[in-house]
Amino acid sequence: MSRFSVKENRANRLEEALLEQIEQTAAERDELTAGEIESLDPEEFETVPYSAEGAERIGYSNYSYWRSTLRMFLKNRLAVAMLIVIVLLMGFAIVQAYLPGQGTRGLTEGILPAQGPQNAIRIYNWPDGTKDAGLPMKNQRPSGAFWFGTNAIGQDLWSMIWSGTRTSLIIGFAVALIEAVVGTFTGLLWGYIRKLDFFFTELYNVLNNIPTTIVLILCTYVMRASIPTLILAMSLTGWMGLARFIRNQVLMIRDRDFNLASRCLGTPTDRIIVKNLIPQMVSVIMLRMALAVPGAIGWEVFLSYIGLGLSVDTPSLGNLVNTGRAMISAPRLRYQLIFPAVILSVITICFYLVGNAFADAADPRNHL
Amino acid sequence: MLRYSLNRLLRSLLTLIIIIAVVFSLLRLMPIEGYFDNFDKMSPTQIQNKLTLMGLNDPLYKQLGRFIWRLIHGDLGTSTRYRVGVPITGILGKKILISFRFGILAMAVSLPLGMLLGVAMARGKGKLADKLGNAYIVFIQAVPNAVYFLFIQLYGAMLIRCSMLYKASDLRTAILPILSLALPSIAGYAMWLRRYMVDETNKDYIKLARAKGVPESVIWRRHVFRNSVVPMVQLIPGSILMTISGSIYVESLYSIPGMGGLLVDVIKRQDNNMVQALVILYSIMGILGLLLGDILMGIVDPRISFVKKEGSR
Amino acid sequence: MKKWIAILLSASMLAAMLAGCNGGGKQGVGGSGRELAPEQVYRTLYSSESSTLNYLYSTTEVDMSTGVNGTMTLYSSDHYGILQPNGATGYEVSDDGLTWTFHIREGQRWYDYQGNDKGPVTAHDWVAALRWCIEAANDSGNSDSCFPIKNAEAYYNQTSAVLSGQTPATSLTLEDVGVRAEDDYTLVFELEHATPYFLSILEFGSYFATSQACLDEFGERFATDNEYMWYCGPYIMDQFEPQEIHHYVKNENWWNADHVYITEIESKYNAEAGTLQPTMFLQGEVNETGVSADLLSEWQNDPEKAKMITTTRVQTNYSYFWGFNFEPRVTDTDHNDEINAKWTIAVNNENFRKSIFHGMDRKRALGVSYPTNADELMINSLVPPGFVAHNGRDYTEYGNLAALMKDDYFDENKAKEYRDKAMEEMRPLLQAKGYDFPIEIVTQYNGSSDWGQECMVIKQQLETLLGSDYITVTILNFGSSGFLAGTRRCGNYCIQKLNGGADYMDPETWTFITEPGNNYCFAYDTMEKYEVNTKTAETLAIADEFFTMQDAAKAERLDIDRRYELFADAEAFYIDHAMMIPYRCTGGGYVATTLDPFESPYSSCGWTYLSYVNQHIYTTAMSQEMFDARLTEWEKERAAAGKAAGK
Repeated sequence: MSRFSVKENRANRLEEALLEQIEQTAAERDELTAGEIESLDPEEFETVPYSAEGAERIGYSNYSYWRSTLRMFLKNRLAVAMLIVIVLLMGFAIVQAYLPGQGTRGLTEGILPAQGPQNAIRIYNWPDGTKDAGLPMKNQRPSGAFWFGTNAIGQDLWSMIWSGTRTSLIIGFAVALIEAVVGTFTGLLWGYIRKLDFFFTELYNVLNNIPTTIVLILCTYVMRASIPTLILAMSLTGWMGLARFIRNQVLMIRDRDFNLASRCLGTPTDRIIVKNLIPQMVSVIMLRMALAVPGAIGWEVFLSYIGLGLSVDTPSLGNLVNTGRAMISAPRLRYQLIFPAVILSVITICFYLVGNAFADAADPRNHL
Repeated sequence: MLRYSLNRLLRSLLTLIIIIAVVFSLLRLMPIEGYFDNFDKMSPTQIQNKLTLMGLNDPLYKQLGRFIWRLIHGDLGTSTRYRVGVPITGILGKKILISFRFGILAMAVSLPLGMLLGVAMARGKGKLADKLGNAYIVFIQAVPNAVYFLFIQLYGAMLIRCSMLYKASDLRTAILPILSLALPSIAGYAMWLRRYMVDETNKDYIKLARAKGVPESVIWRRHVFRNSVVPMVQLIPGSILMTISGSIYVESLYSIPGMGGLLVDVIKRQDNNMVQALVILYSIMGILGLLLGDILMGIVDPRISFVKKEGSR
Repeated sequence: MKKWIAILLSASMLAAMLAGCNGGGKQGVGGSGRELAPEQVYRTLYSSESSTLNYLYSTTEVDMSTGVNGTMTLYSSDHYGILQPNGATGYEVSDDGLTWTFHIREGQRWYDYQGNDKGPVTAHDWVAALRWCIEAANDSGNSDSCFPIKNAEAYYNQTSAVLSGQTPATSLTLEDVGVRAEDDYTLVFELEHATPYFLSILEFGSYFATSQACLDEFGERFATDNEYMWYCGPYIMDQFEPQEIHHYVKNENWWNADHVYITEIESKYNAEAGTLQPTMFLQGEVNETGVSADLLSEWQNDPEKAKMITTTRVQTNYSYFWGFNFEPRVTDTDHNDEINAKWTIAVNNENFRKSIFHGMDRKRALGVSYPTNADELMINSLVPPGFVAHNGRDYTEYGNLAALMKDDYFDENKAKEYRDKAMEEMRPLLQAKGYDFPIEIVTQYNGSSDWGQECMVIKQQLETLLGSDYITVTILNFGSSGFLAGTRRCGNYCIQKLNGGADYMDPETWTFITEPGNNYCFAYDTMEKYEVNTKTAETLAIADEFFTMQDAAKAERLDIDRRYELFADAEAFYIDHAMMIPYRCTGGGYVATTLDPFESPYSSCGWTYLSYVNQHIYTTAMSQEMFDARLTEWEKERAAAGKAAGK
């Protein structure tokens, strides 16, 4: 920075002016004249005895990480709204199976299309006396009896979609959980035990470079697609990223100054982890978990698209969207595509926004 | 820098060999019936005949060895089921060019637009531009591609009055596929650029610059934008290289004979040679992309030296 | 000057438009009363790309299309299904039926993809084709259609052994194989046994003419691309871009070019053809489309579109039946042992089988996918009626089979009778093993919703009729990946809808389904393989008698009537003992087309149906009324033509 810099000079002058101003104001306020001191009532004061520990105590701000995070999150009203939507959606998805007949009250209970999968949705036939008695009620538009209409084989689309939401969410959460647990555990190992570093780094490079598409397709082709198979295939590819991040964080424990400082002061290691490390990590773990759910659903849609997804018996959002696509050339039947697509989009949007909002809120740099 | 690149290349080679071995073994788990079209009517002699010709009756290490030997000589082999008897390099060459062309055109559209959007969102943070941009990004990423691509095709073709499928002779038919390819990328670029720019504006030196009275436009152009672009630059070589993998949705909808649906097709047909070739291709692209990205980032940002910390952006 | 040019140009454009308006009017009227399209260009989509154009190598429909339209067979079916001379002008058969001599049509030439003349078509071309197919190193999928020729199979096995590094048992040369060209226009086949149906095998891949010079020039690249093959048939493929387009132009020099009306064929690839084709058809971009069951109801409600839908003809080259599994190895439930044990007892009991046989309302089940034409599709035998006939007498009118053709097997009273008998007989056997009724019938399907629904309808109907204390049906969805291998071929089912196709026009082609060693229903002694016999002596006795009857039929090679009678008797015997439940043949789906399907070549088997000869494009789509009218007309004409040709 040169003496001749116009900017610097101006900045210096500004600084001086500011400092002057501050001193003035301070000078004006805090001083009590001698007379005012005399008139103070001794009873309002308490004598504080000397205490050795008291002299050593260091002042600290009343900062709680979690409370700040929560406060920041709640400030974001959109995120809160989305969170409420998700909770309601998930709650309804779980409860829906146990609610008595929604709309389909009054119709004779349909027949199960196949044995085995617990989520199989019943097929409804036209009752006796109608034109097509005994045949399934195919492709009915939404009506009082079928709130979302029926699909091509006569199943109630309302039940199909909620069952599908359950399945997709189960897959998504399972994948997210496995990723989080396995990723964190591996990451910790990777970071702490120096000898494993080379092995894990190589493993990371290998796994990272095999395109996810290939792994997913091969897995679902060799083992038949079912809920456990899909969960397995999707988790295989996701945990490495989180593990790597955790490992970086662990490495940084050793190096950060404030951690060194903590250790110097005698803070035990677990407190270091809890107070220093976890806040950094949790936000990212939560973000990754929140994004893993719509990610898993997206992969599932892809797999259904290429024909390797869950069988049509087990409804899932991917299945439903894919089956609905075939109906696109018949405008009257487009509802079969629109309903699942809307639900899927809502879920993805919500998770995405909530996840991002939480990550923003949990970032210590954003506090205050 | 040269030493660093060489070092990384060597390590990547090791990675590549492991990947090949893993995928190779996985492929041998595929059911035998899948290699035949007319399995029920074939006599055992015919079945054994075909398996021998495909080299599947030899022990695994022999097959792997033969494959790697040929690979070193630059021979990716011939396709056994996808296009029988045709050398794979020929098949891939054509398709890569097609996907690459579409991908680059789409990038030429999406990169500038995405960046513009990202800047607009960052500058107008919290205001209308930001909200609209956010809505667009979230929407594009939430609604499944397969759905809105289909709608674009149906209604777009009617609007532009061109054929629904892509014809090389009719340039108007290329508009919709490029648009479909670009839309998700715009969202991606805008989102990342906005995030980096916002992070940048929160930094102390920007506060200082403002306090010193530097004009806003100068701050955005010279400081914020330049510094935000650095991590973006890391993504670009990877994106360019990955355009060759094509988009399976777009290509199957518009009948574009590119690489998009190729992987799924060859796995289903159990054409082992093609699958192996594709795995190698994509892995190399991935590794190269990362390497080039890091090098590019190093060129653009003088602060980055190649004592590389894995944790950096 | 410019003004004059502009006036001239606009004047000529106007003139052209007017000319177009007037000239394009009456092009001609086809058999269905529709107007011919001014431009005879056939446009369509395909969703599965060919893996090769080599018709000698491949057996898939997509690949064979090029061969059928690009080269010639010796004889090919016309639109009545009667074999007419194509590459050959005539033939003679020796008295012992072992030597067939064909006279090759003279004056035919080979052309490359750009239309350059490449030489004459001679008898040597058919020899070259056959020799290519029996060479094991070429891995031809058509090698088995060569095996009726003397020494062909032996030569194939010999080269196969060499390939896998073993010493062959024989040392034959190509000259030992029974095919040779006596001169440029005389082709001689020598057969292993008298094969009366030999003419129909000539429609298969290994009997498509192939020039040796072409094979020599291109070597390994032969037919990997349209540029690497030569054409002598009705069309030349001048453009082939994989995953993009197949394009054919008419070959004006083909001997029968007068009967080729479509001048250009443009087939574009689209993986989403199923979804997009109907819309493209409505916009006039393609000339035909399949109409799925869902779209069907949509279109039928629209007056305009309802006029465009027709059903398709029934085809006799494929047969569906419900098979009883005699080797139950169900693995997909949580109580497999119980199912397998009970089913073993049930399936060996003839009264049980008969109760299901007469209890299944097949028409009702068919109504799921074919709401309007279930009657046409249902068949009462394994070999569909109309598959093959001799001297005007259809195979299903021979022997004991004729009696079975009359009525539907569905008979509620009979079913209940057999059920009661079965329950009496089976109860002690079941209880001896610690089980009891109901018998659980496991059936699998591949995820197709139509099939699933069919199973459901049958389940409901059987359980209601026979009582769910007698049987319960368990429907499992196996998924489409590896379906046959996972269900049928390993016995992982109790009853299942199975199917098979014909390879040549003779009842023997269907025996692969029932013969010993089959992987369909396993109704033969499997002790060697599985070490546990799941068949009672009674069942094995039935099977053995059936095999004897079948072998006798196969051995009868000279007297066709007797041959058909023996086959018919064997089949009737099998069905009488309810060893399987015949179901339906193929075809019958819904399409919208601007062609006339009755003009296209029709054959019970072989690839000729892929040919575009003799077809016109019309301006409007065919309606169901037109179709029905034409169908009756066509059937009459066909019967007459059949009699005239002596078939």
